[in-house]
Amino acid sequence: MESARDKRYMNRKKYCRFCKNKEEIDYKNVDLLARYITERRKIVPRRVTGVCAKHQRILSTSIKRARILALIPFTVLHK
Amino acid sequence: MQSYETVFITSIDIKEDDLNKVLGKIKEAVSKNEGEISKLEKWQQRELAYPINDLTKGVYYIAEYKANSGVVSDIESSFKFLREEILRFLTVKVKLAKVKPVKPEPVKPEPVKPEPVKPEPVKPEPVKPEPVKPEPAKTEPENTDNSAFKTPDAKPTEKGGES
Repeated sequence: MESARDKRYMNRKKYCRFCKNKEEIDYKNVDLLARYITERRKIVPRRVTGVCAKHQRILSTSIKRARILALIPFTVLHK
Repeated sequence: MQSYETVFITSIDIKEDDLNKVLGKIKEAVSKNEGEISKLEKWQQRELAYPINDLTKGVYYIAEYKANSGVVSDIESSFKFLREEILRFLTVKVKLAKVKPVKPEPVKPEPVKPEPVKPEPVKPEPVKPEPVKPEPAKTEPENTDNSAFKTPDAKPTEKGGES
């Protein structure tokens, strides 16, 4: 019983993809940014994605830039 | 001097004259600020994520240039008078020189230096009495050599075992 419970809570350790793969974050790369927004088009917190603080900062500014250029919607409620 | 990147959106059915007017404004502003344009081209036509001025599609253009910091205000102020042609624009600073390759080089020498640490030349002095031991040790290698000569007999047996 206990071992089964342990397994349920065993999680693979999260890591920052951008640190590991040395991918560059660009506000024009819509496919990349789309991975880090929710269904409601909110920015996903790094506690969920495992992105490091430095790259989360870059990521959030580039998502905001992409929103201004209408590459990514601000909300679902746009007409 | 600083390098910048401007992205702007126009409507799909923009007239060539209007587009040339917009591109002309950029060239004018850059040349005014003693810079040069490295890239000025159409990026893509795509559906806007949300309607702007009741338009659902737009054409994206990218301009990359290097000039004095005055360009940005010049370009953006001229864009503000082109509301009909330009739906949105965004100017961003771009980093050109990446010093990444330089950093690893000083890092590698550091681990290399500890290996030839000079304590080794210091040790040889007390070691000198010790070299007496290696001499008897040399006699041992001779024995091992003899054994090595003997071993050839053993080796074929091994090979035979393998085959």
